[in-house]
Amino acid sequence: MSSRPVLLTPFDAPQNSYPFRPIWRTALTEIALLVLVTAGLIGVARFTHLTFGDTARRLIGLALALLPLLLWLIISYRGERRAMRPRPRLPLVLLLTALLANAVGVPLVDQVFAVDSWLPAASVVSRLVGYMLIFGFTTEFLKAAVLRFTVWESCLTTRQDALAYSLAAAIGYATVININFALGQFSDPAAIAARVAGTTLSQMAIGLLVGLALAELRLGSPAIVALPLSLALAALLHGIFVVARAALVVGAFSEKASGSAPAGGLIVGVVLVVILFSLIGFLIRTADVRSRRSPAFQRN
Amino acid sequence: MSQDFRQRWAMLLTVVVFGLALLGGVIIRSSVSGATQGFADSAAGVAARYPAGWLIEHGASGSNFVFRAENAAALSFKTTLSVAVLPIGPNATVYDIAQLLTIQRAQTLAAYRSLSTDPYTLPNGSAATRIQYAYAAVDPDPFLSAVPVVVRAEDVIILSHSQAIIISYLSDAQRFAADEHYFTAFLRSLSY
Repeated sequence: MSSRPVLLTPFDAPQNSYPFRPIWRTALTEIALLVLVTAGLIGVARFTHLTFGDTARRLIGLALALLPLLLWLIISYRGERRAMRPRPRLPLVLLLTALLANAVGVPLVDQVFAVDSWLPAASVVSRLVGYMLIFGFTTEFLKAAVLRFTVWESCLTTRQDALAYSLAAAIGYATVININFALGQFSDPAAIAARVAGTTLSQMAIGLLVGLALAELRLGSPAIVALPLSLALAALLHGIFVVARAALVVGAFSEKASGSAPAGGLIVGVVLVVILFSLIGFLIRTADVRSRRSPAFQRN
Repeated sequence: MSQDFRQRWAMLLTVVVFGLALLGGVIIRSSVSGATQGFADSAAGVAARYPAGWLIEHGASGSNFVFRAENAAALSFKTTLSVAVLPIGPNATVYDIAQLLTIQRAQTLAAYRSLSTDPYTLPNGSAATRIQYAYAAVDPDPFLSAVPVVVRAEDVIILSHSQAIIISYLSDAQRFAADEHYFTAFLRSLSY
């Protein structure tokens, strides 16, 4: 005879109380896999000194450029489909951001402003301000515009939603930048992998700032300047990222090392992810606690 | 302040900030691209301003130029601005100098072609003569299997105080028109 009582609700019922995909877990899994693959490629390149033909390098570069998108589809999007309440329009956000990046963002930065022809030779301050004003603002404004006109009105119900959509937009934008880089350069796979990982991580981490500001504007009552200020902060971080990556990737010449250190860009990307993910996580926790203590929430 | 009002103005302000950022980008582009550094050679009596960030080379005694500025970032062929000074006799004309330069270059430059020789007015209104030519620049490194680059160039010759000042602009033929503003600004800043 069993002593175990028969319950109307099973013990594991509370595990399903959160019906959405856990954003942090899937995002961190994607990042960890991307960093592992990149570090592995850099390690293999360092110890084996493999060389590839032009066609092979292009194909490997294209595959590496598409890797973040593939990881997002397998981990985040598949996780979203399996959740009790999947967030709608995630592929639409990703696709629209990619289209806008390819049609407006990349041509504006690379062809209209042609930053690579005059900015790399400028002083550090000029480079930082230049990349912030031209690359940073353009990138974050386009991503914010997509979020505003696709999901902001109808799909942002929690702050976590904003993170999910921001990350989808970041992957879409980063994929276009990465494909342009992989097809436009004859770099080694390790250098392309490091560049792809650095770009993707920076887009994912910095994009959260504007996503969170959009969510606050929808769900909370922030100051009017909160969204433009977060856009400016995100743009500044893009400027810092580009300058820091360039400083780390172009290393000093010595007897033991060449002048290029592709892992530099990856390191800056990882540092950005650690700092911004921690900061955004803290901000969301405190904002959610504030919301729960508010009179409006208590009434509901 | 209503939620709707706040949202509307926050969005509008964001668009304005983005517009201002692009305007700032245009300003910083023109300030970085237009930034110059000065060079003066009291012995030759020549001073000019060249684009900031270009590599400058001073002519040693006995060399055929006073100074030369090269755009190290330019691919295939480094866009170059240079000033040379040539002592001349009292009866020498600008066409003698042009002929001398043409003969010298035909002997030293591969596939040299003189394109034109015509009168030219400097930005300060002074009269000068311009020679336009082209040649094929071959990389001297035999291990680099590079295709020769077609270089287009022009010299502006000024006769002043028993010397001929030759200001030269050399560029990859495909970038000649795009980079010509450097030469125009260089001529504008020139004093002799």
